[in-house]
Amino acid sequence: MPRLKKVRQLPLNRWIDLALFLFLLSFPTWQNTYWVYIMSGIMAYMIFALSLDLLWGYTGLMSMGHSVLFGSGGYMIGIASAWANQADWIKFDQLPWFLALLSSPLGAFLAALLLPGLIALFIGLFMFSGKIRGVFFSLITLALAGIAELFVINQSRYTHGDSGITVTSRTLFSNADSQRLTDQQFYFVVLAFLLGSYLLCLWLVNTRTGKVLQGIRENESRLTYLGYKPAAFKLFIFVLSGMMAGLAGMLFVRVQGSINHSSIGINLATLVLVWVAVGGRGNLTGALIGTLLLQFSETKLNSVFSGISADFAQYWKLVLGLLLLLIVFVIPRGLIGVLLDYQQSRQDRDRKAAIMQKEVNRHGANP
Amino acid sequence: MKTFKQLALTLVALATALSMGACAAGSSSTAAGSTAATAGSTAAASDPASGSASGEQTTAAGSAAADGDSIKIGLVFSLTGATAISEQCMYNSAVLAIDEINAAGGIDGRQIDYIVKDYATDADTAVKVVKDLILQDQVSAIVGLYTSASRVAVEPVLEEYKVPLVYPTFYEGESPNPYVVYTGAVPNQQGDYFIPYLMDNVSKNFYLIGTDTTYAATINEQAKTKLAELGGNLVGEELVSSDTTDFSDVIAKIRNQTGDEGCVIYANLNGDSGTAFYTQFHAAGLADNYTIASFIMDESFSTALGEAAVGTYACVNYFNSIDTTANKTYLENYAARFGEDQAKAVTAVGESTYDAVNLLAQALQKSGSDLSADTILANFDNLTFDAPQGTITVDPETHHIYCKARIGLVQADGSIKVVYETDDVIKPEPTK
Repeated sequence: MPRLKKVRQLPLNRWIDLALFLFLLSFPTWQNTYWVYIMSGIMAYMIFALSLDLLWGYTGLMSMGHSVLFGSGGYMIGIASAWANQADWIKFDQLPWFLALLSSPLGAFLAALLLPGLIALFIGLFMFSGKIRGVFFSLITLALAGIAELFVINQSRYTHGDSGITVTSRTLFSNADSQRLTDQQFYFVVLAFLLGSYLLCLWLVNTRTGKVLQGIRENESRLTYLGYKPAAFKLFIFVLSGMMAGLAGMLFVRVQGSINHSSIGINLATLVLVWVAVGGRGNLTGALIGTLLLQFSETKLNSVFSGISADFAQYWKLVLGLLLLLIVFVIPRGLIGVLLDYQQSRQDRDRKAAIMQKEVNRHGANP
Repeated sequence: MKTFKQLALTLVALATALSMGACAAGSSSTAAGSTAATAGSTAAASDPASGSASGEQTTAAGSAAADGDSIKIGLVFSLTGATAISEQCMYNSAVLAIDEINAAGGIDGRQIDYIVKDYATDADTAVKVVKDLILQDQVSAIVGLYTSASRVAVEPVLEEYKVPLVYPTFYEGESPNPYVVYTGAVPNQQGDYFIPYLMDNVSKNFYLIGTDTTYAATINEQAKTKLAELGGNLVGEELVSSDTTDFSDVIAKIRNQTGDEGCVIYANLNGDSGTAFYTQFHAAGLADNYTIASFIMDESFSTALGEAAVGTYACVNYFNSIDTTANKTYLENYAARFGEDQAKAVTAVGESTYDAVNLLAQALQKSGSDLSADTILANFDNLTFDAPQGTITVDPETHHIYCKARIGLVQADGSIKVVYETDDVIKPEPTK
């Protein structure tokens, strides 16, 4: 029965993942359009959280400006859509050369993946070859998020400044106004991408490359002595994670129907860190569950609290904030992290007991 | 075992926090009942704790609701977030208007039921709550929103689900969205009169300074055209990012570039940035030669700024010092409901929200039992309302309002005195 044993030893969180995906698959059948729409947005955020988990959870690179990659993907779709529909704020007759790709729907799709990848490549080249790590990496990425937000506000010629862009099409490969899948149909598009991203991450972290990445997190110098080049691996994961974030941004914009500077700024960059931290980093499940829990409770609490009374609307943030503080203080490893620790310690105990038993038996035979 | 202990601890913590939330929710219902300002029909059906509040509401609403037929509308304002201070007055005015209409028998006997949502000055949240109102609460119309970003973001939702929005904020103008009715002033109803007045009465030299937003950029463009046309003198222009709060270098620059001649400082700065600029400018002691003029100045801002705002100019379609009977009634009712202090800080956006609800009520009345978006929107055409600011009319082409332009001077007590007003109402030209 070796196969069954393998299933039994499967980490607890994979079962949670399975349950989560089954839940997501059935969700539209018993929920109304509003919640289907909310959940589509949450799923796009989950892809975003997964991309950060690869970078932060597995490789130990805490990017505090991951929203730059998310937002740049989203803005590509936004600008493409504004151009396709000739939004009235567009004052140019022709797309400039650096945006020429956006004239075709497929081009916009590719641009939404490639631009974040390129940004990550560019930043990564400088930072990793310059051996910038730890808190300095975080600070530089944080500054980037601030800069990116100001940049899109200032470049109002292409981004419509602080007002943001509306994206009325809700299909993957069209920017024309009239093309619109229903919320339910688009839900499954997002779900398919989420599943794909999840499987990609799961596969990647279990390959040799994935192990090297975790090695970088644990002890980068030792890895260097062993002959690896951490910079190359870090660059690879940063670009991949950036493209995933771009994908998430693209899907989010389609779900939401608009993009504005808050999607590229520090606010979202911090939010995603909180989701991953609460869920637990370095196991994929944590990113998924953290995003789901926090986004869901945010929506729910806001509506419940402002339903009670308008004077009371602001206090949901207090409740959520207290909860987050508690989680971070009491279980710094995150919700899923604690579960895994628990399973690990039980397995360790069982193994220890088995060894002890063996010892006792052997000694028992030779008094 | 250690990890198990941690797990247990977390569960306890979670439970505590949740029960705390629940307790707080319970106690709120009494607060809501006593102020009566709130709750009313907003009480969430799902929440038993708010039962007492909604009970009170039905008695207060009187017998008109007896036939059980009501019209649901949604109110969306930032009750939290960066613009919450400006939007408090909007929210209050909306509630005041709805209560007045309900007390007077509602819309042909049907009461207005309202549901309040907080969008926290965030466009993404605005989309969420507007979808919530449309899909879950199935409102017939929505009143609210303040920032341009939030309006732009919700427009596709309105189009998709065909629900009208009455947007009560003065703004930079756009080609009108078919599902939006705009009850605030647009730049051609402000700046076209402001610049000539300032040139005649203050100085021909202008220094433009603004937050780098679509709004300020539009206003500055308009100002430049007007100055060129009338032979004014543009001394300099400065766009600052929205989080700028240190203006020492800008002030030094203004002083260097204008010398002793002085000028009008045309300052359209948002929120904290605006406060900082007025305060630092006042501290620099330049008020003799320089005069600040701004679209952003209003009663809540001038009261908050105190001395720093005195002697500066403002330009919008409504100041609460306007002497009309409608305005007196509005302010008296507002004061009775929310307190004397609050009534002093009633602003143009508050007044246009009051107008927005009243115009919507008229349109709903004309629509009768057919509450589809197309009917409601068509019934806005040519509506007139005897508003606190004077009679306003909805332009059928653009769904913006005809209103007067007014220029105000901030007085020592923080009120704003009207020093100029146009004789007639002005046609709105949102795309100009």
